[in-house]
Amino acid sequence: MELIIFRGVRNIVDIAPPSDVCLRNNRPDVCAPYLLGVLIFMFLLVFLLPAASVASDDENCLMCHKMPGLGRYAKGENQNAVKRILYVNEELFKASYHGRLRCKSCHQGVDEIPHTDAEKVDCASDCHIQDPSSNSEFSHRAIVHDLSMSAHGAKQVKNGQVEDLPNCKYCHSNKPYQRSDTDHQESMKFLNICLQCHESKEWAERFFKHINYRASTRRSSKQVVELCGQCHADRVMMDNHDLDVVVGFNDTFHGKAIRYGDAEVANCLNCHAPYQSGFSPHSILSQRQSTSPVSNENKIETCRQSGCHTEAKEEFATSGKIHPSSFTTVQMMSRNTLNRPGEADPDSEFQEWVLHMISLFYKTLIIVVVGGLALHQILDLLAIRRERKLREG
Amino acid sequence: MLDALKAIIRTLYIIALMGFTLWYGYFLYPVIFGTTEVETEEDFASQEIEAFFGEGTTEEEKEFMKSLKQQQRISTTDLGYMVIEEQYVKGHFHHVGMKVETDDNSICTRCHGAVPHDKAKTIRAFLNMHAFYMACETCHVRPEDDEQEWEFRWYDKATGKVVANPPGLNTLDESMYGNYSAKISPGGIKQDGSFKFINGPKELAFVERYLKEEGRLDDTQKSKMKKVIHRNVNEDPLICDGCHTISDEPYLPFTLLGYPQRRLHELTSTEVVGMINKYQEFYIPNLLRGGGVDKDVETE
Repeated sequence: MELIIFRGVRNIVDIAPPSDVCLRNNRPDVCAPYLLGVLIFMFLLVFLLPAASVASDDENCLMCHKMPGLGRYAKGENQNAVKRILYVNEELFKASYHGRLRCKSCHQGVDEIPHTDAEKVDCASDCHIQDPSSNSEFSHRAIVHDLSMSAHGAKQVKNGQVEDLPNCKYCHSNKPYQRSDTDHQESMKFLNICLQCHESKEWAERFFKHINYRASTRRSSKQVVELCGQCHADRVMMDNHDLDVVVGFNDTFHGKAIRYGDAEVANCLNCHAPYQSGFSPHSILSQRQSTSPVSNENKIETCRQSGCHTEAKEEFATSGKIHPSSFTTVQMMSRNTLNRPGEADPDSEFQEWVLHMISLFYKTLIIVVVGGLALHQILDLLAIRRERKLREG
Repeated sequence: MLDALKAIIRTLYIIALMGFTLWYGYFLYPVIFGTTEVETEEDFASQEIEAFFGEGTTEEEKEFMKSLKQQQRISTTDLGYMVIEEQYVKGHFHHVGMKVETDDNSICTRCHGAVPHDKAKTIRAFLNMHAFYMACETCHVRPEDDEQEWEFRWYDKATGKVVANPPGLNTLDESMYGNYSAKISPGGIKQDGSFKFINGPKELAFVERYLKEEGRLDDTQKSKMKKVIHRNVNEDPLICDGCHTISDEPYLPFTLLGYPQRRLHELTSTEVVGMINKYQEFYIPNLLRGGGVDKDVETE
C-alpha cells in the first residue's frame, strides 16, 4: 500500500529514504525526521484525498463508466443516430438528486458484462430506497401516470407520432443540488438545528438540501419559456399534432417582462399548470378540456390566482388573446380557444386587423415624430453653422 | 460667456436627445411592439438548410444540419459554486461536466469520426473509450516483422505536436481519468534523433487534399487512393490483452508514457484483466481477430 502510494506521487519518494536503509544501518536517530515526515505526509494524504475518490461504488460500475469517451452511436426511435454517452462524472453524480441511488436502481438488468440484458430506464419503477413519508419503496410511478394521462401523454396523440412527446429526460437532467457558497453557509447554520435531533449529518444535510431545493425556483421563467418553446414554437411539429403554434408569447407583457429579467412574472407553467391551484406540470391538459386551468371556464380563476391579477374581471380573461399572433394569416386562423386550428374565426380576424392597423399607425407616428425631431435638429445645426459663417464672413 | 454656456446647453440637449432616441429604439420599441418569433433550434436549422441546399431538401440533409447545430450548442449549468459547461447532447441525463476537445490532427477521424467503432455491438463503447485518448494508429497500425518497434508519444489534440506526459495521469481525481486533451500515437526516431509520428502533418494534408478533390475522381481512382491512405493499416488490430496483461511487457510502455505505478496496477489488475479475458473468450468478434465477420457483429 505504502509502496503504491509513493510510486504514484513521485517527487515525495525522493525526500524519504527507503525504510530498509534505516534498518540496515541501525540508525533510527538519523531516519527519525524522515519517518516523521512520512507519517505526516500519510496523515495529510488521507485527509486531502478528494471525496469522490473515496466514495463508495459497491457495484464497481465506475471501474469502466468513469472513463470519458465510453460511448457509441445507436439508432434512436425515429431511426436517426443517437449519441449515447456512457460516462458518468462521479463527483457530479454524487451531488445530484439521484446521488444516493445505486446505478442498478434505475439501470435494471445490467447483471451481465457486457450489458446485453440492459433494460430501458423506467422512471416508474421502484427505486429501492425508502420513501420516509410512507416507509414504502420510492417511485415516480404516480408522476409517470399523470404524464401519460396529460396532454403530453401518448394516449392523447392521435397521429401516432409519439416520438415528439417529451419524456422525463426532455425536461429533467440529473442536476446537482444548486447552492451558492453564501447560501450554503446560511443553510449550514440552519442545518445545525436539524442536527440537534437527527444524528446522521450526511442524511440530514441531504434531506435539507432536497427540501431547500424543492422549495426554491429551480428553472427561471426564461428557461421555462425556452423549454416549452422548443416544441410549441415549432411550426412543423405543431402542425403534425393539430395544435396552435405559440409564436406570440414574447410579444405579451408577460413575455416582455421575462425578456427584461422580471423573475416574478408568469411563465407558461404559471397559467397552464399553476401549482397553487393544485395543478402540476406533469398533468397539463389541453385547453379544450373543461378541467384545464386555461379552458374558457377556468381561465379567469387562473388569472386571479394569488400574486397575479387578483382583482381581474371576467372580461379580462375572455376578451383578448393570451398569445397574440404576429399578424400572419396562418396564425390568425388558430387563435380562438374553441376553434380548431385551421378554422378561421371572422371576429378574431377582424380584431387582428384592427390591432394590426393600430400598431402600424403608432409605428408610423413614432417614426415621423422621432425622425422629424432628428431632422429638425440637423437642420437647426446647419442653420447655426450658416449663421456663424455669415457673422464671421 | 453667455454664448458659450448656451452652446454647451444646446450640445448637451442634442446629445441627450440622441441618447434618448437610441435608448427608445433599443429598449422600448420591443416592449411596445413585441419581438420577433421564438426561433427554435429546428427553425435555425431549417433556415440554414434552405440557404445551403436550397428548397426541397431531404430528411437526411435536414438531420445533418440539425446535428451541426447541436454540435455547436453548449449546455451551461450554474451550480452556484461552479459553472458546468458541456456539449449539449439531446436526451442525455447525467451531466458530463466538461467540454471535450476535438482531435484536429488525426487523419482517421476526418472520415471515421471521433466515435468510430460501431460494428461490434458488445465492445464498441469500450473501443470508443480508448479512441478518446489513443490515436487509431496505436491499435490499427502495427510494425511489420522486419520493422523496428514503435515508439509512443502523446500528441496535443489541438496542435498535433508532441507533448509531455499529461499531468492528468498522476491525479488521484478519478474524474480526470482519460481526459488529457492528448492522445497516444506511435512513431519512430529519425536519424537526427528527433521523434516523428507515423502520421503527421504531411499525411494529414494528403488526406485533406484527397477529401477536397474526391469528387473529381472516378471509383477506381478513389479506391486506389483509399488503399494508399490505408496502406499501413493492419487487418488484425491490437486487441485488449496486448496491453491489459499481467506480463511484464505490455504493448504500450505505460511507464514511459507517464502512467504512475498506481495506474499501471489498475490497468493490469486482476479485475481488469479478468474482465478482458472474459470479453476475449466470449465477445471479441472474429472481425477484430482477422477472421472475417462474426455472428456477434451486427451492422447498425
